Amino acid sequence: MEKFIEITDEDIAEVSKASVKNVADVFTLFIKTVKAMLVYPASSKLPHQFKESLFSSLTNLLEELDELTFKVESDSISYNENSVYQAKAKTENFAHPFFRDGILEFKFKRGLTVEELNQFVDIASQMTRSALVDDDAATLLWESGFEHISYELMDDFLDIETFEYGTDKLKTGQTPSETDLKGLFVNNIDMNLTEEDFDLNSEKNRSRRLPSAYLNVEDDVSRFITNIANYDESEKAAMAEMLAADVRFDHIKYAIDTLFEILNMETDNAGYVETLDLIAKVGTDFIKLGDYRSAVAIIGRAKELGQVLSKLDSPKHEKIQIFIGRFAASEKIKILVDHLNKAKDVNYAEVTAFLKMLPWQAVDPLVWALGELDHYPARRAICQALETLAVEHPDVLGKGTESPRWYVVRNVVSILGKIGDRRAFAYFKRSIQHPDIRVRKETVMSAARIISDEAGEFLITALQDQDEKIQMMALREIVERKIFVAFGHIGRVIANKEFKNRSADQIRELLAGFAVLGGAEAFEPLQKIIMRWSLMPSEKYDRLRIHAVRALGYIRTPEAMKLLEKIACSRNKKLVDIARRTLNKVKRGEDLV
Amino acid sequence: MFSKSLEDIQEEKKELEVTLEKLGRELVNVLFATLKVAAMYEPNNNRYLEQSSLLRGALKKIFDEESDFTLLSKGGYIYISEVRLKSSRDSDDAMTYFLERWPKMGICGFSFAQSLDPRELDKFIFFLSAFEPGEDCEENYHAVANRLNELKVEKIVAIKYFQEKEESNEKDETKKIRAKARKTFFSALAVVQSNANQARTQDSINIAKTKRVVQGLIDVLVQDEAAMLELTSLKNFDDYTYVHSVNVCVLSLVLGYHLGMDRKHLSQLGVGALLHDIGKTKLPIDLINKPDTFDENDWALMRKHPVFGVKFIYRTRSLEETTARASTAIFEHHIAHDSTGYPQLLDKRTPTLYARIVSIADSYNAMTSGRVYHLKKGLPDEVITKMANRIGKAYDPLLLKIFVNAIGIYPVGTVVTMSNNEIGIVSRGNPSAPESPEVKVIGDENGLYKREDVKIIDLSKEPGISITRMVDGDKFNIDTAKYFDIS
Repeated sequence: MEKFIEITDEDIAEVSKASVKNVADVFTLFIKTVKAMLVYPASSKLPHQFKESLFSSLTNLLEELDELTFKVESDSISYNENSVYQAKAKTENFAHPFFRDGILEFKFKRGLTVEELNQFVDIASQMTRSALVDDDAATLLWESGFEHISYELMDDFLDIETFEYGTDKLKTGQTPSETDLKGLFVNNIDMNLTEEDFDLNSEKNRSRRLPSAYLNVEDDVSRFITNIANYDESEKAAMAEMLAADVRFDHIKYAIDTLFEILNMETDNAGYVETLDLIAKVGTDFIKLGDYRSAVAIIGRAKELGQVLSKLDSPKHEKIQIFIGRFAASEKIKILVDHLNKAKDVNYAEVTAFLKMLPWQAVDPLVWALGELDHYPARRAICQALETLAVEHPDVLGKGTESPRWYVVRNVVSILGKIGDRRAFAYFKRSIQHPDIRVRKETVMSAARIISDEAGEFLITALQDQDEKIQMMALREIVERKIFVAFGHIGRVIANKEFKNRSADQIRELLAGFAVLGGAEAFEPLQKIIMRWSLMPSEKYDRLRIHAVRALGYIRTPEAMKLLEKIACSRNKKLVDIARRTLNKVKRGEDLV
Repeated sequence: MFSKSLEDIQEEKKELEVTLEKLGRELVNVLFATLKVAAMYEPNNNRYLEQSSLLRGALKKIFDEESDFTLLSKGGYIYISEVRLKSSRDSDDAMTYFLERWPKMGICGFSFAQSLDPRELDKFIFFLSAFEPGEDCEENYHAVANRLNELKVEKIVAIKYFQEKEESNEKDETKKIRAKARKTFFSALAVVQSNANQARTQDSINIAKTKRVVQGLIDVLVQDEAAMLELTSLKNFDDYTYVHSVNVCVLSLVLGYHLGMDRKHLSQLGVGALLHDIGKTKLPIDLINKPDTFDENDWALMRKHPVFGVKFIYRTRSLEETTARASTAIFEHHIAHDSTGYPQLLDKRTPTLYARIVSIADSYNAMTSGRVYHLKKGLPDEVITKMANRIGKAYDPLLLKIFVNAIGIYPVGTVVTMSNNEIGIVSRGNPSAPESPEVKVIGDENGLYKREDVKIIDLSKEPGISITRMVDGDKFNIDTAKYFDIS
């Protein structure tokens, strides 16, 4: 007996529920893929892995369902009236970019290719990333010309009452009279044409092969008309090259040149100022969009023009200077900060190039920007620019040491050091007092970079820093730069009875530094340390002696060498080893450290 | 409660359709195999007898469900009693065979009646497998029908190929595209008008709508270029300034399309072309509407519109690839190929590709309409001749050639007289034989034909008829708009 499997409404509902869940899962994967595109740089593998996984899941689903239609609302996306996406926050709404551009639904169809899906994901992420781009989602989808993805657009432009025109309205209602119609043909006679003229195979026309309406044209035109139907190989190549050249062409740079061309055409002051305002607006747009290359082109063109006008002693020169100065204003730098904090895949070399073109007035707002930027490469770009911009104005930069943010102070100190102007020490005196050790460290390093007497004095002061690390840094810089005036100061430190209580590294470095800077003068104090007799031998004294023996190696005078040899032959085993090693190293010319 | 509910009936119908679809595929396969076997064996051969038995079995299964049924090819599919057969790997060869063979035989299929006896079926099979169709489909159909009649095959009837129906479908499709062309063209016009008003009053335009309408124009252009070109030939608009922008856009797109531009670049070109005169919105309205010819001051002001246009674009939009391309087209569309024209450039240079394209479209439309810059209206042949005379000076030689090749030396919408003394309107160009376009024949020297008598002839297939001249329809009171819908 045959058994029939009964399919109930519940079964159908169950199947449909399962399919909605599958669709929702795929859509969630789509959102994750878009997010990965937004978060990770183009070079990262992760977005590609998401894309592969999405393609696999979506095509499997399409095998089953043939097509998937998603309806778009302002903050949600649904499939078969079941929500598959609901925006959680205004700042992260994947439905909005489509909704904003009038896309009511999009549909994936069976046969979808990996290229199509990747492009769709790219469009979705591009639209989510920025509302500033000129290309709306509808345009990008249209340009893609997808075969297996379709979309439905809100036909809003047809809201305008267009059908009052229609072709009906264009009908004149006029009817030709008999005379009109006869006249049409009578006019042929006026043209003195014969039967032969209309016969394309006639001897006359065969040579010219001209259509009858063009029989009376000159030879050049005749050649043009007779060759109109065919393109020879060189013409085909020229057509291809025309298109290729257009793609290669830098249209944005050309448009910038056009704007400056228009500026040069302006004959009156108001027009000149208006056009400059317009170019400044265009430049600001570039910053907003992150097109720093074009922003560089704008300022570059303005600088060139400024130079020419300056030579001509033109009053317009001042206007150009003001124009360039506008890019250094706080509000422009705020726009830049905004973009750099939000954007992904920024070309920081272009950012640096742009910033370096700004006038020195940008120093102050750029120091402010250092405190506002979220990403390290952006701060580095600003620092690199400030090294150029603040060369003549370290005082303006130095004010940055007053910033409440330790990292701003550190960056400013670092830039001051790289600039190398002695005026920096006025600011280092403040920064060396900074509660954050990182700032003090940077101050020591930056001060050491500036070759001057102030640097020595400054480093000697730093030897008294509360933090031993700073002291050691200062010591190293002093030794490296051979700041001999520090010898006495180090001697006082060594002579202090608390010296033996310092760490082994400090003792080693201080004694070595003392020897390097003092040379022969350091021999006697070191000898005293080595030869000091103690009633109660202690580890601390032994350690002191060992490092003093090693320090002798830096002195390299006959006396020092003799003492080392003497120790090497002594019975004090602890000192014998270090003395021998030091002697060997000195003989071989090796570093003693 | 013996009556069936509507749901039950629908359910049964659905079930029957599923069954018929399955049985139909089986029949197509078995019929195909039987015809092949019949081509090789005699009727009394065992191989054939086995095969014909399978065929009878397949037919019986269908007759158990339907007393009579049809097996037809329609629109690339096979149908059994209106149920479309799904293509599957095992039936693809058979379906392809019938889809190709039946139209050649002048038939779209057969109807089968239940009382079909085996001898009738064998006669039908052997006739069908041996039939060699001739050139003429109509004759083939009659040959099939007559032969089945002679063989006394009464339960299987050949159904004539629905060529007329397919032709009419084609016509419907053409009508749809033309309606779409009209809708898109007038939408573009509305967008241009709205942009102009917005530019004047709010110093802004709706770029999204502008792009969308350009994309619409491109979509139609790719489907039916002639429909779009015909619309550009209509000149009886009240306010021609806006129409000029749309026409320049369409003509530029036609040129770009024939040059080989892709969708993205066509779209950018279209936006530039549609906005090429946007700077005029910044000119005094009195100047735009001035009925008299322009004096030197008027011209000086008018010549500023490209600069005004560029300024306007960048006041309202940011400088990106699309706006950059559009703005150069706006700035340079009056600069000639040899750098003359206006605005006067400090550095002489050849204008950009988009500007060179828009310049050609702009000149052609201005000269053929006579409604822009107070030019004298010229017939297309006069304008093309004039433009060809300025090759290399005003226009890029290759682009002008592509343009004339694309719009035709007898452009669509032009009223022409023909060597047989008939009057026509060019309805479609013929790039490979430009002197022989397709023409709507609307009358002769004795009068205009009734609308239903208007016929379309392809002059490349009418060696005895040629165009003698182009005429200004307005001058002879010929209302070309009246014939736009005829396709």
